[in-house]
Amino acid sequence: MTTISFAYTVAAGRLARVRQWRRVVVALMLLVLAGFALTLMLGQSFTPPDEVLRVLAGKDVPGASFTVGQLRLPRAVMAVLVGMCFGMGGVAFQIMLRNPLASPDIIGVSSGASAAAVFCVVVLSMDGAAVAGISVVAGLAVALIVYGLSFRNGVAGTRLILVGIGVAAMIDSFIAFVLSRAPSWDLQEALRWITGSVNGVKLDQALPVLVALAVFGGLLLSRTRDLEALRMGDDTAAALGVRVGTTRIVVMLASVGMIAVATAATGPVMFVAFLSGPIAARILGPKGSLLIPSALVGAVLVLGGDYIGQFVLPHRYPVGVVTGALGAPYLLYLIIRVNRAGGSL
Amino acid sequence: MSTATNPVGTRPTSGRVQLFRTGGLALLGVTLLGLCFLSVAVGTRSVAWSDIWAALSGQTETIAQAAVAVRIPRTIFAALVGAALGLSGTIMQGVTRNPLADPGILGVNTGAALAVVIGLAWFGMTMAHTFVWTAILGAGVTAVFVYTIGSLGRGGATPLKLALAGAATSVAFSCFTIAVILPRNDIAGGFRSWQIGGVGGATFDGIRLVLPFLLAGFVISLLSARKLNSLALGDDLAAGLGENVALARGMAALGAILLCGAATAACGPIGFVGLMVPHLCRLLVGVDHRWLLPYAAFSGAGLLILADVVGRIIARPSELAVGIVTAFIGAPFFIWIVRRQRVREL
Amino acid sequence: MTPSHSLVAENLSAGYGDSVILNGLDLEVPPGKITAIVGANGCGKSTLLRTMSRLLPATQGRVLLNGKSVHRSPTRELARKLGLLPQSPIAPEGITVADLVSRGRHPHHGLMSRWTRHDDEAVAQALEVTKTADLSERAVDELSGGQRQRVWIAMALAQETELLLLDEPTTFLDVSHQIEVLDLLTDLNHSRGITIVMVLHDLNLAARYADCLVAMANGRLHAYGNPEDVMTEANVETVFGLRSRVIPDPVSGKPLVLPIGRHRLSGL
Repeated sequence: MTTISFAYTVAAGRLARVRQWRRVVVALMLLVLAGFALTLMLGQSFTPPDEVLRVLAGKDVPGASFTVGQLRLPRAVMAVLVGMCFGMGGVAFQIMLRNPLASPDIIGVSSGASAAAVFCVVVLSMDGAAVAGISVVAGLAVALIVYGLSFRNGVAGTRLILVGIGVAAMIDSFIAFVLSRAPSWDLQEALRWITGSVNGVKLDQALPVLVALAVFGGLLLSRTRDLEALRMGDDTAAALGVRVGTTRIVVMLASVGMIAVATAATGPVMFVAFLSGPIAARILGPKGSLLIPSALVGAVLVLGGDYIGQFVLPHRYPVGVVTGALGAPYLLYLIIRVNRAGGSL
Repeated sequence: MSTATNPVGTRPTSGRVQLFRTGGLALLGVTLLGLCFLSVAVGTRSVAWSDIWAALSGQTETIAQAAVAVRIPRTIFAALVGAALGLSGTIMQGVTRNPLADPGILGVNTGAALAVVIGLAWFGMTMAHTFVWTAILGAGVTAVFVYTIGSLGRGGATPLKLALAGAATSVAFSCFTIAVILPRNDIAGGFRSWQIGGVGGATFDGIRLVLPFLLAGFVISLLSARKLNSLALGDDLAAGLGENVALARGMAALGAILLCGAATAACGPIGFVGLMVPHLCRLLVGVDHRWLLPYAAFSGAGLLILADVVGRIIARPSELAVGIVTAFIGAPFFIWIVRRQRVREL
Repeated sequence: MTPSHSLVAENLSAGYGDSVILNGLDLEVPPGKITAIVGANGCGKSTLLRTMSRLLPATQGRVLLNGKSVHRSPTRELARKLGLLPQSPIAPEGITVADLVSRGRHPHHGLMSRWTRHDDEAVAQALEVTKTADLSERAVDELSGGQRQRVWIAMALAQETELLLLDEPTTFLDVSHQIEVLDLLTDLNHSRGITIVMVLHDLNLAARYADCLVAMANGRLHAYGNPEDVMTEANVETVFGLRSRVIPDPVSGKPLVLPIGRHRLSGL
């Protein structure tokens, strides 16, 4: 009898967690929407909402059609999409390896994808889906190399991160080399591949990113419960019936895939993959899966960082410079805090 | 050979070991000379022996002789910078008792870069010698900053925390650097070539500029060898042996920062030399810093000259900046160290 | 309750990398009983537990649960029959007790399945049995070591398995909490007929709480059976390399090991 009534208490607590998760997700969605609207309406000039809506509806609005339709809309769409890719892919990595520092942009996966993209674009003059495809392959290859090199009677998180830092250093110097060989040196273009930028993107470039988000994101979401179990350690997860090895492979494939495609489009927007998960965890608390909240946080970061870089600072900066400058102090804070608490994400 | 030397170095080492090490050092010196000659003789342009001899005796009449004449300061420069980086890496690893310490990994190079760029853009810095000062200042501040961050919390400065703090600081400082130079097209171009790290543009005037700093760094570093031996035993034990730990650490660190700051100011960030050299030298002579430091200086010089020569050969007809070559040799080395070590969990 | 399950290891070998730790071991876990595995450090206690619960592959031989090889069974299906508490599980930062315990329902859910009444009841029951119901909305990080261990046991209970394997459930605990945890496990064994297999460090606690003792040495089974038969002076000497006196424990009547060192000896 008491157990039955206590079961209601348990159920109530569970429902409260679900409701809170939904509240956070809705709030984050609104924030993304607000950032999206802001990017569309407010740039060098202000475009009233009704004109923006008319442009979005496909009507020809003098003055607004070009600014909103050609400049701001692709930018905003791309920012949201790559932000979600980085946010979700990054947090999946962090959860899988149970270490916020093991994010793809720290262990070299983003660098690998970026190096492939920069080589294809600058040296081979390729573009479009081919670049995205090659970036995915390169990102996966780097992930496998880092994983393989850190394997010694199992993978220790520490070793993986350190090996990743070493691999990233090598790849970064390769990127610097390719850029120094570029026939025409354009700092803005170079910065895209070093820090990430949504400058001058076209709407059709967003399509591969959207597809990657749908396919790989769906794959990750289907593993939500397994990922949650992995947070309690490999042994506990295995004891709960998670196929740890398979889950690892699926999660790595999916998150590297989405991050590499996003990187091929905008470059590795600094630290978004690394930051989104911990920020989402801070907002949400331990109230359920971080995948969707962290994707939304990623979108907010890229939208916000781009807006700040474009219009708030005295000079125009690509989004990656802003997120990099903001993210590094947070990384330092995390190093101190993780160490003090001995905890994970 | 006994490598299990007493780390404090109070026990007299046996005569044979002494001889062996002196001989090794001499051998290293000869190798270095050979590499210097190689560096003068080999380059992007193939030149005849007669031209090399002519250039070495001061003639610059033909193009070939001129090309060789340019290689002379370049070689001296690479030797000096390599020795500086090797020494400063050895000292950083000794001071932090951390096998992964290196000016590049600790982010000290980017700190120097940021300081130089800020000086250029905001303070209208033009005089070349202020460059060096600013870089050393930037390097010093960054080193202290990264080390502080890395040693906060439980467990002190673990390799992982130091490496991460260095990586994070590097990224932040690169972003700040980009933020400073983006509006300034006039300094962006110079920064671009500087940032990759090369010794290609060396002149005797340039060498004269950094030489005082390097010499001061060399002297301070070599003087701190015995203190580093004490520090290797841990702060508590070093203090117990009568060493003023803070002073010892400060002096050694000053030497390291002078060296890597001046080196970075002169030729841009060159990573991994400071990481590899101490590990290789420890394999040769063990852990006594009185031997380790001279070995590190010689091998650092040799390594950088070699990397420079390799960079000139493999990318003919143009050349590969030495910073890229060292990264490609050094990163696998770094990974090897990480795999070999029983790295503590964070 | 008559237990209808069986867990058997046949000629089992396992290890990490090239090093063989378990070496052709046979063991039949008595159903409905508490079994404790003891042995010196590095003798393969944990390896045996991990191999029996399929966390570690067997290099030779097999482990059968109800006649089926655990290494070949679907892991989710296995997780509904065999629970395991690893030595150092990780609580996600800030997670509440109720949330953590409900994670134990994982093997009962597929990709799309919804949470049912029975899930809530299983969680509630696990919390009550382990006396952690009052803590259910507290964060796991804030709890004491003993409370935390009870929460982890609750999670394993929410899994509703007939067998529960525990790897050193009492390490890092104060002696009072060690007793608390072992009492709880004994309660579970008596009231629900759960078969318990655990690795224990403390010989005397193992002898007191186990129905069946397994003494291991060098990756093999050295002795097996009632604590009274296994915990002899001769066995302690071969398994631990320790001279000792074994007397009846005045509290429980089970064997009590008193080590003999080189000093402070009298009355020998």
